[in-house]
Amino acid sequence: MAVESAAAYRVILPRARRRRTRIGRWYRRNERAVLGLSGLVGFFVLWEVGAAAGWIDPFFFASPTLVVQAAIREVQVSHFWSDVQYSLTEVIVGFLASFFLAVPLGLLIGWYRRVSYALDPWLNFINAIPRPALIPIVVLWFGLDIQMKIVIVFIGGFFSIILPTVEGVRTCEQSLLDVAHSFRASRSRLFTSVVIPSTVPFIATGVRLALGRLLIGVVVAELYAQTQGIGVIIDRAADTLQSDLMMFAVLIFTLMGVLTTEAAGRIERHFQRWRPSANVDVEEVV
Amino acid sequence: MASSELALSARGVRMEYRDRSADQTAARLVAIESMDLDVHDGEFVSLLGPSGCGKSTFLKIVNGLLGATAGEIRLRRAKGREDAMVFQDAALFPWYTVLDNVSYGLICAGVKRDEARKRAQPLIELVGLAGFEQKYPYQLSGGMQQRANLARALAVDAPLLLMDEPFASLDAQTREVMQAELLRIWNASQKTVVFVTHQIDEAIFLSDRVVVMSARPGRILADIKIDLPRPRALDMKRTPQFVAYEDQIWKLLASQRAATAQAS
Repeated sequence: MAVESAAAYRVILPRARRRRTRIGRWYRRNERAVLGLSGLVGFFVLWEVGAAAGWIDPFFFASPTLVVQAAIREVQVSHFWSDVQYSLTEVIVGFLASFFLAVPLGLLIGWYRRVSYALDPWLNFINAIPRPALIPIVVLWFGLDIQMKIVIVFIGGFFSIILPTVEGVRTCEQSLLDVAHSFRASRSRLFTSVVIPSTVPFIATGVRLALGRLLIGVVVAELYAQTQGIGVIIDRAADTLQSDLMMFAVLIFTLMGVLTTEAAGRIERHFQRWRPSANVDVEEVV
Repeated sequence: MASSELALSARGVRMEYRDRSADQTAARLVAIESMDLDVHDGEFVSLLGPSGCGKSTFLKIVNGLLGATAGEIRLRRAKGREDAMVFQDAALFPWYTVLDNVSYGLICAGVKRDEARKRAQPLIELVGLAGFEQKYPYQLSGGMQQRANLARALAVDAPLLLMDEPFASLDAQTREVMQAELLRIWNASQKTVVFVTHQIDEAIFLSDRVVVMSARPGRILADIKIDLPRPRALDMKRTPQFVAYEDQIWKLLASQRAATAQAS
């Protein structure tokens, strides 16, 4: 029977969709990048305008153009590049050392109960030390040069990676371990087929943490023992009241942080192809 | 039906756990009181019982994942593995493709990767996953994951297949499809199967014998021979003989429930 008395029913109709122009569609796809970029650009424009208008004193807080000018001057100075190289060496060697020691040791501690009983107190003990407090003693052992800085960087990276790695092994899924045991997987196969793949996300978290800590280690070590490095540039610029140069040097550290984190993210995604990607953009039905 | 040779023979299998959470007096938890079970070559036997009756535990003891407290199990020797397990909830390695998941058992047995993949391929086809070799488990439906799980166990070519509630997490329709598929594959592969389930109709439909178990502590209440013709199709579930078996087993379990309820 046809529905005639309209008043007795609430009618649900298809929802009208807004038609978008081509620019509108492009904007929707790139909304995140567009808004992010305009936030950044807007901030720098305000900063520049503020400095030009005299609201900000460029002596303490150099304007973006001054920072760029300082950068152009600085990259032509020969020791600048050796400073960059020095700091990069600390980061790279410190990271590699911490990664290749922390991951295997973390796997062992996570897997073998007895190893963990024996080493846990030491891990907790050393991890509890505020790391800068160790600098004087590391200087005593290794001197003021790059070895000492690498050790400081290493300590920061090592603990950031080993703790999540241990956690990752311990939360390994029992049902998958059962499968491996059921098919009589050898000890090494058990590790490569179950333990390591399920620990990868945890190691990745550790690496991301480590990269942050690593750079803190570089700065603190370089400020403490001023031989070479970008940290030295920062301090020298501050001593000579060059806020533009100082900001440029800080920017280099920032750039290092951004680039290493991005690289780590790419490597992590490569190892996690088997995961459903979490950030699939929702396509709007047209 | 089955030849007279025994594929599996269990005598007095008992399983106790030390219950760490309980106080000192009730420190021991008996999962299986005592189990005697004979399974003939080529036979399809279901272990049916309420959850916690120790039926999965029994499979794990047979498979060697758990050690029994007492008793003895004999498995007929085979060239390679005697038994292979089809796991609950598929338990596929999420980081391996279907092909690598199915080859896993062979690789563990020392077969080279390429050779293992070559030998896995026909089993992928047998379970109906041709074309999905390079997919990861998250790209498969629940039923397809179970197909891969089954193929993984079949790949090691053990004569005895231990299946631990493989269809429990599937929706009702997919489960029925998989039951029919399992019979087709069982027919093609000539394996002996011990199948654990808590679904009465599933046990009857699949099996030559249904072994009904009591709630904890697990023991065998009845060993019922299912005299239904093979090959079986799903519409058999609506025949009077089938329903009569369902009734018989249902009453057995219901009386058992009533007894436990009175006891507690």
